[in-house]
Amino acid sequence: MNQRGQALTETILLGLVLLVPLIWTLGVLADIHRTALAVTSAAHDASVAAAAASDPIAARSAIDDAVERALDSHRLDPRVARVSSDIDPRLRRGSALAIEVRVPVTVLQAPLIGRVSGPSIWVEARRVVRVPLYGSRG
Amino acid sequence: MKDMRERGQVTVLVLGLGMLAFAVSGLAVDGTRAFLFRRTLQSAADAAAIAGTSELDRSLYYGSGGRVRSLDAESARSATYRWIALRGIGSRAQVTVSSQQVRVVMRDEVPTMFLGLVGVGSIPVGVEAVAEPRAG
Repeated sequence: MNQRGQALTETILLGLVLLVPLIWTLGVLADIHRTALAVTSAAHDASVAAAAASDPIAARSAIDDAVERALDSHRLDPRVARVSSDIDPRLRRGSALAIEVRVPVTVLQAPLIGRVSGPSIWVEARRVVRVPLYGSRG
Repeated sequence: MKDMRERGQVTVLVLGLGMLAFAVSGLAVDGTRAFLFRRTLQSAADAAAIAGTSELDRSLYYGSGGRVRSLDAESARSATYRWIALRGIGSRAQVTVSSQQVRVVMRDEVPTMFLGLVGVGSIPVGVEAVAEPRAG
């Protein structure tokens, strides 16, 4: 039986079938981890800032600022983030304040180029905090 | 010239490598799922513990001119559970309240996708959050 070149063929075929997807998977997972840390940090910072605001308008502004700063510090584009919040209309003390930050992680990524357009996995963080009962605000 | 006994050796080696690669990627995927869920659980526990510590014993607080910050245990426990429920995760939670501390322990299990093939059906996840009374 002629076995010439068999090792090379197997290595190329299985390398393409196994190793390339493996490396690609690990790259995407690393990006998901990074995004998860970023959105968690953004939701946390935004909730703290909003809970200390004097009114709902100031709270929404504080949320936008905090999310932008947090994502920017993780080298993520804040423009792709989707932020939603549920704030008491009067921001009463003791009321619940919910913030959700979602950022897409592009599945198709190319070496040296980075993100390519295509399907995305949305990584989200949600935080529900209580507006402080005591202390000054604004 | 290859010896007849070496026939198929490369195939076995590459298949072994393939299985190893599959196991590593499976561990990475399931590990990521567990990591993300643990992060969610920790965030919920932190927020609930902090919400609970807002429930000061007001008569003691105002009576001491703001010097003594002691928790109203029943209100603190109730507020902590309320904030856990508001997050809507549905994990097991245990709340312990003393006059100076709210401790939240949350546990759950994350079902696996790949590790299920080797008999690991879920990954246990547990977090703890401790907060002390505050008044501003």
